[in-house]
Amino acid sequence: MTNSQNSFTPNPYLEKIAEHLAEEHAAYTAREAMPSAGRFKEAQTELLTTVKDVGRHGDLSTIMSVEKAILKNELRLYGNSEGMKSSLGAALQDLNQTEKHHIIVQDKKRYATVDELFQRPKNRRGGLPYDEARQFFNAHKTRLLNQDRSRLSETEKKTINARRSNIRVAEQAYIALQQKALGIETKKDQSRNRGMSR
Amino acid sequence: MIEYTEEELARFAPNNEILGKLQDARAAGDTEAESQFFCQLVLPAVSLLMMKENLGPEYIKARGLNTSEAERVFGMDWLERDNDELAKLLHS
Repeated sequence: MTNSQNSFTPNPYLEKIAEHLAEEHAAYTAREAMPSAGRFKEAQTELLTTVKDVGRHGDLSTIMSVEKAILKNELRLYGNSEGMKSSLGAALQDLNQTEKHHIIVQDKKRYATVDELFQRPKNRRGGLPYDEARQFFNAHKTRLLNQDRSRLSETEKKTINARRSNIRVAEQAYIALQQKALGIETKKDQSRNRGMSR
Repeated sequence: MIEYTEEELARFAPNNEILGKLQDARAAGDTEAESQFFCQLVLPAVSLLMMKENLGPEYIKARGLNTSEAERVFGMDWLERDNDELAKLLHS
């Protein structure tokens, strides 16, 4: 080996890592170049379209059922670490709890009890109980936002974003139900009532 | 994540066969052949930039890698140019 070659002999570990990183990405491009990769993308795009439709047209129950289906599927397909399993497990548990709240919030008498129990300022948001359903909506939005930082395709990230926006829609629907249960007039109600009395 | 166009992916298509040979050579313990097949890979520009950044431009030249993608994406003079400047071209 000549001196000039010696001058750029790299750290052997760094050399191996660099080559393996390059090999991994070359393998990714090879896989992406196959027709089945196109089918995979198409399937992901269709999923994205429907998740968006759920947010546009779906009611609270539908949004929750859809999110539950996605989470359960994710847990079974990709729950390959304790951290991921416990995070998805917690999300599912909170979601089940939210579904119970959805039933109770539609019953004025039963929701009055919840209202009574959530009186401390830290347990209220905008004058309404910050109950487990409301807590779930917030925690789940954060959970989905954190997933945005992981190694996913553009379409997959858009799907996560659409799920996040669906949770926001569900949250607003739930808040409206809370207001109705507690007999709180919204601005919309007030203007409607004024219009009627004229 | 970099998303490649169909046209770009067509350029990477040979990698499937080359990787098959490379990984067979590795399994057989033939490091010489493994190294040669690595040089045949159509390495994406992002990977070539990573190698240049970590191992230096002289290494890239001496190793005899297939640098066609870096030349296409960055230009023929990519080995002389600043790495951070080149990185900006990846997402444009």
